[in-house]
Amino acid sequence: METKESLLFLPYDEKSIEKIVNHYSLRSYKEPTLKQKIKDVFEFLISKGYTQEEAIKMTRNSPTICSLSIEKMEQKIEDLKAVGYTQEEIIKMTKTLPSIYNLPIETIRQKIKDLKTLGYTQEEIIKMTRRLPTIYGLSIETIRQKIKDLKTLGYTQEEVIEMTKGLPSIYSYSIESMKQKIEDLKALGYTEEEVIEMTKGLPSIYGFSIETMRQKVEFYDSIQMHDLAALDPKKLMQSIELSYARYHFYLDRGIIIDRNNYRKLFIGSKQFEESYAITTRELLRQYPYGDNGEKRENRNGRAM
Amino acid sequence: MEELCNLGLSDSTINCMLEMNPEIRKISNIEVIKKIRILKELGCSDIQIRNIIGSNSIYLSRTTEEILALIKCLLKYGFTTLNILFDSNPYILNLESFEIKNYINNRRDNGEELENIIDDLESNPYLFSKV
Repeated sequence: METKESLLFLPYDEKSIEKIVNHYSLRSYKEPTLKQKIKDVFEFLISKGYTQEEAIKMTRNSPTICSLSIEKMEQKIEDLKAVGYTQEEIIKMTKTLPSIYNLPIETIRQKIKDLKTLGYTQEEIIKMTRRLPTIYGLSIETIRQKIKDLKTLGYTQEEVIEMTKGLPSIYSYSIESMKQKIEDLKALGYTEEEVIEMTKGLPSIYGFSIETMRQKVEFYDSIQMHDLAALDPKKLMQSIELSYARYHFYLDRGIIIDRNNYRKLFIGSKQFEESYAITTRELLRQYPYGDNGEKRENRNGRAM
Repeated sequence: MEELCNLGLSDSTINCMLEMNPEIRKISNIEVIKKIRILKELGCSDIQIRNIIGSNSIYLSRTTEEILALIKCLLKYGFTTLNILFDSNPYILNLESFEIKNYINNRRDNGEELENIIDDLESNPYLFSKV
């Protein structure tokens, strides 16, 4: 196709051009029109603040946006602003989900309305969709079903809403993989009730890889703090390398960390630095947590 | 996908990553290597890289420009050990610099000192979910 050659002046590789010009949504256009449309959309995106790399990726992954007129795309930006998004937020969302440009604004307004009936505020919806624009690609029935499925795991409707505000990507996980995560955590020594409580406090547990979770739990097990995850799940987020280094730093100073003083492991960096005159960087250098989960020897050559 | 398997991630983690970001099927090994290299340059260990990518597959879909702009922004604000920060909360890597700026500015407008905000975020990485 001639268009392919004539578009090589834009920074696309041949494969991307092929993908765009052969897309079903653009097949009906005659060669000069198609060339102009692709060029216009590309230039429009650049003028709105997308980088070249982003504009290429968007048009390659969603060639359908090349079928839109510039006026329609401009209008969509205005409509989204009227809904409550800033220009920067619109750019962020559409980079991830360019097809938002193809969605009628009525559909977006309706989705916001539907989400409000589930218990989210307008502001929360803006924030969630900014982080997970694919919510606009989910039907309200799918979302309702996901909430229903989560309720069968032991959460209340309010808890699901609260969890998804912080971690909207829960809507992307299948219920099977969430059940699997629960089983994986049970295999690490927690009861189902504890796992549910943990995930209420720190929904990101559903996103953490099991390798990460295992590593953390094994470390806290090794210092007799197995119940930390259930007691104070947010603390699980701290990098194991930092917890490990602090634990051994205290140990070297005769301070044994246990249930009563475990918060010492998690104090602010500034407070730690001021109290013990050591920077985080230096602390990590002195007490390195080894690769493959094995502890290295510390600076004194003592096995850790 | 080959490079992802080399990170030592289990099948179940790779399945979760695919659910979160089906696009990773199409991401080339070169692209994955590029993203790993960025983390290595920040001082991330192999374990941290595995944790970050295994927990946040969206990171692989971000452009290098976006990631570097975010890193530059965090460093400018005074975050120091980014390897620890990203290992603690891998989702930070999905944020845009404008989101960090807005969040920090809001807190500053409420009278908080920049130094204290950064320390709070560094010490409580779950707070980034409020960004």
